[in-house]
Amino acid sequence: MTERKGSLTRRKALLAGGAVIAGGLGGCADTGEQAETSEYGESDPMVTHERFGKGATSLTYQTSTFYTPIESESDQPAAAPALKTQHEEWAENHPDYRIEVEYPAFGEWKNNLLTSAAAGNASDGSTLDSKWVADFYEYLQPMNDYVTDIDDFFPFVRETAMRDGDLLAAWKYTGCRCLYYRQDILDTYNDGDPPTTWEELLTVGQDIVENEDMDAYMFQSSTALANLPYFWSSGGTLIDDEGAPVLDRSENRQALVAALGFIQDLVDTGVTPQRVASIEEVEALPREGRAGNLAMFVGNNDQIERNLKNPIEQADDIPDDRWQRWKVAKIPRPTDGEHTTGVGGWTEGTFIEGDSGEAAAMKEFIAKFVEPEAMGRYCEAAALLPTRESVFNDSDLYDPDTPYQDRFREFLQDGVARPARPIYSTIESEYVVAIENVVTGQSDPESAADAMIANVNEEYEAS
Amino acid sequence: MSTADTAAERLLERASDVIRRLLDHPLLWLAPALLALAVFQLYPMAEAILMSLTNESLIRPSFEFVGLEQYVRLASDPQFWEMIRITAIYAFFSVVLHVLLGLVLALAIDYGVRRGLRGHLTTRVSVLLAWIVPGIIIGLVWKVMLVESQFGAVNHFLGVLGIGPVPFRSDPTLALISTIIAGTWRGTAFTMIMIYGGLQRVPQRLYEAARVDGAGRWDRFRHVTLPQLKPVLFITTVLVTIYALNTFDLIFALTGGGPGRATQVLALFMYQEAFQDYALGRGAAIAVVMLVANLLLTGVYLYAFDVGDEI
Repeated sequence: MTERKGSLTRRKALLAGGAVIAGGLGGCADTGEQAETSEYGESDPMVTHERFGKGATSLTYQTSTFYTPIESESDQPAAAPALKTQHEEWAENHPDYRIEVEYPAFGEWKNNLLTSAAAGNASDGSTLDSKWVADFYEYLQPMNDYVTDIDDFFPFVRETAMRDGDLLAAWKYTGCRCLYYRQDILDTYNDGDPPTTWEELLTVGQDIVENEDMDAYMFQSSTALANLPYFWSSGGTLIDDEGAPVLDRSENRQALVAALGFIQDLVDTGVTPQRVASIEEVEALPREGRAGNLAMFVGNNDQIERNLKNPIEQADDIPDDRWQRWKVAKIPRPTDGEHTTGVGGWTEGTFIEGDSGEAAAMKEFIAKFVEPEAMGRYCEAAALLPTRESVFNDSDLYDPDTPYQDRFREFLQDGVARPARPIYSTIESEYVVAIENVVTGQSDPESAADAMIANVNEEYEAS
Repeated sequence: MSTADTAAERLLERASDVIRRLLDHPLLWLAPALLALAVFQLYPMAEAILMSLTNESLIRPSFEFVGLEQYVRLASDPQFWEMIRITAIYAFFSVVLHVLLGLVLALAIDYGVRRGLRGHLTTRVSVLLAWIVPGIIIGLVWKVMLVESQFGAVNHFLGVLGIGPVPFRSDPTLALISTIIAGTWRGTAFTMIMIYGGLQRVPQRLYEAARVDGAGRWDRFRHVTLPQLKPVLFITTVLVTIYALNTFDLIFALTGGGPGRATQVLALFMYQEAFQDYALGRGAAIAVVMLVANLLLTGVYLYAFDVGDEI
């Protein structure tokens, strides 16, 4: 890895020491001097679970087992061949390099990577959750010269992954939140149409609760992004152009109170049970739906395939087409508001400085994830949504048979990404606390909003 | 005998004298422990104290010394005092339940052993099993058991009886009670084993003398067992208090501090500041506050148990 500028401080020394000890304990320490010639022969595969390429010069890369190119090792086996093709192309074009791959434990990944980056010891490249990107701004290296046609990305990508004109992360796919609803239930209670406004949802929901032995509507209270559309649809803005929180502005506070007030109405009317405050796992709501306990919920676009279609088709005692009674729609909005949805996804970034040798090889590896062909191939196989408009528009590149892709594409037009500023992590946790306080009756919407605003502002001023 | 021989003998004698004195001195024997303590305990503690005087953050390359600003900020934060309250409730009930249940279990097992009853070993092993499982696993197991629908074992069972579903994790008060029960379920084995060990040290002749004096069961327990257990109860209470005040893993897995902040104890707050907001300075300040609270409570126990000469 190339050396970075900056003097050695006590903090850096401590962090470096910690990283070395951690690396040593984990058996990850460098094993010796770099070999001049490659140790891999003709018979060795070009791409394995732990290594991409066969060159003599090694680069380091961290990712998740979701993104391994080896099917048998993958948490997402359907997508592995697409990644294998992509990595093989890179390896053939870079015969002098190989990438040593690590798969860190998810819970520790971000913190360890951030600590290593602060010490100047980060891996050369890494996969990053799109919500991590802002925390790594100081350490990520620009990719502008390697990624083509940056304007082709959806606007939320450019807003989040770019800083001062530099593209710091290659956003390889996205996902959005939407309303999942039981068509058969809404046929009975709303003439087959999903509720589009909060008022409609409350009315339909109460009818369902009164007449059916099931809960009407649930959401993941512990996930801010699933619930921020209520705030954004009410006209709220979290952060200004300078990165400062603006929740205390009258219109934003009003939007926050409206969003929390809606959530309170859902619980008070019985449309949503108080137990949403204990829902943490993303799979919990479709599980309730499959069991016939729930009529509507807010979920991620990929759940139709992962948590509804596949499990239902695999179950022996349920007709295979039962999943088809689940449809998707936009998340309900206030009567005078706009539809919005929260968009997320994963990115790739590099910490290696420069534009030659190892740095160029790693940047080309990262850029490959967002080449239209590679992106289309991967998103199609993994039932994910591309971040480039051109990929969506080209059926040769992207033509998935996953249900409701056209609807998701439509929802993406209303997509809002998490603000790419470090204060967002505080906003996120405070919003979850405010929602849970309202759901459990510990606060009313006004005081929950005021407490949230005060805590966010205090955190921002102190940082 | 030549002068050279005498000098060599004197030198040898002096050397063996120095070695003997060194071997007799406790410092040599304490040195490995002191070294480990200094490297692994005192140095990180000093680092934490120093860090608490800075505004150090993982997502900002530079930092400054800000004196006591982090402590002032904590003291003026109503959230912090609310977390102190929650931590105090959690720790108080945890300590009381740990010690009481540990004492009851230890007495029961001791009684069983003395009477030659079967099953005391199985009981001890069963209780200990809960203790050897990591807190994060205990938290997850309880979380699964307390799911608030038909998928949760406890609510399923209550449902069969026509009760519930009980909002074990979504009701603020029940969530706190759930964390205390889960923590007690796990930690009682430790107090049981400590107190059971203490019971083995009580001389039988004291009980016999008490019986001769006409003391009943309660009097023997009150005037013989409890005073004899005092040093063990002191150590146990101190350790359980430290464990309760610093509990993180179990609550993190079981409730994550929620709903809202209903179960957010200081250790969880410290984690959030240091590893979610990356405010290392503020996280370190909370750690120092927890250290001071632990030391203060130990002082209080030392005074209350009056065991200064016995430990």
